[in-house]
Amino acid sequence: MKTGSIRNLYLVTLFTAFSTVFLSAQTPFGPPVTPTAQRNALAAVRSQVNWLQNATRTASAGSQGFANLWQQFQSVRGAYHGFTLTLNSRQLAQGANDLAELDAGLGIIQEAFSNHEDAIAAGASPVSALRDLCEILREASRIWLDELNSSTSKLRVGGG
Amino acid sequence: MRVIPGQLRRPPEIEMTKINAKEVGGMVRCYRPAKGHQWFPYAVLVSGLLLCGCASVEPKSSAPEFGSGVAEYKQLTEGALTAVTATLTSLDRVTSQPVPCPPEVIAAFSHQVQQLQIDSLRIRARGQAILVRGDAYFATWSESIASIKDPRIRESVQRHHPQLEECFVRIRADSKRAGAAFKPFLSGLRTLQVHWEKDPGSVKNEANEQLVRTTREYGHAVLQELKSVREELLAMQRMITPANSVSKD
Repeated sequence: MKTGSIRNLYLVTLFTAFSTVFLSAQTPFGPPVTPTAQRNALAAVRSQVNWLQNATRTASAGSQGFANLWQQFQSVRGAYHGFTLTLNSRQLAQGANDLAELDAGLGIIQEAFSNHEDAIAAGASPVSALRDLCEILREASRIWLDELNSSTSKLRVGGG
Repeated sequence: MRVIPGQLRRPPEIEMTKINAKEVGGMVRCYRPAKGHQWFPYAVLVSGLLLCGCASVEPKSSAPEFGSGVAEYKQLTEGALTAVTATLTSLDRVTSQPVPCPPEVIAAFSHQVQQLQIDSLRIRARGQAILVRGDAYFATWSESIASIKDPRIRESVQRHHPQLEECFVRIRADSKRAGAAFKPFLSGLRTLQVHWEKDPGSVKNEANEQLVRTTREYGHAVLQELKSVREELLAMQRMITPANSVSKD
């Protein structure tokens, strides 16, 4: 009986120790806050921006082309959101201004989609309106990615 | 240790680790508790090692310095001023043409409108971030004072902190007004672009002429606010430059 209770105490101690380990390494119910997770999440954002840029080069006129660009852009937003969840408290505090700017940048880029719809409604040619949208998305996403790279470098993302 | 040709030999540090592990194991066995709890020391050792593995050294602050932040913002503002001025010039070029406006002039205007949307991205994002974060933006910005390497600049920034904050408050108000004027400015430009691309002869119609006037007014309002931001940033730069701050006091 006494041996059993000591064993239980050991198990509780061990469980507590392991819980501390895991809690220190990740946020509750979120992705892990580790350098590897940060590098992976950052790589995912970069890939999504590349996919978006490829989509702007191959977009076909019509609703399919627009829908594909929209989907690619939303994937960039999703990947970026996922990336921000991997940042630790120091990076979130120190990079708060940069992160707010990156977030605002995505919001501004997204306005290009509503501008495109307004242009179509005002009677613009769908081909030239889509060409316009593609050009803006390609250049704006390039600038946004440069900003992301600069910010993540300052914050030593993935550097441990 | 005999090395078999072709077989990878472990580096000496790994061998040392193995030896150390044996010694540690031996030490743990010395303190073996009562029968039935032989796994406990190992569990404690593993837990301890895992906990130690989680300890990380916080890297030194790598936030941009306050001074470079001001300089960078000023540069962004200069870029935005150039882009808005170029767009207004392009707008004037279209309206000064006899109707129908030559297609290449309208194409140049369309290109300029597109370029404005791209070139204004960073400054608009900066303005929005300042508005969204409010005082917290300046707080984060001024936290980077500690990372300023030049002690004279650091001292200047600390000494002028209240004035710098006042400048920031004015920049925030200017940014808000600039953003409010930019929206109808861009909207007007885009509408004119669509109308003129469809019908180059519509440049002189009354509705478009009215839209040109209001769009131009919004454009000038954006310029005015951007110039105010630039003035505040210049004032900030003067404050944090050691020579000037000394002569001022």
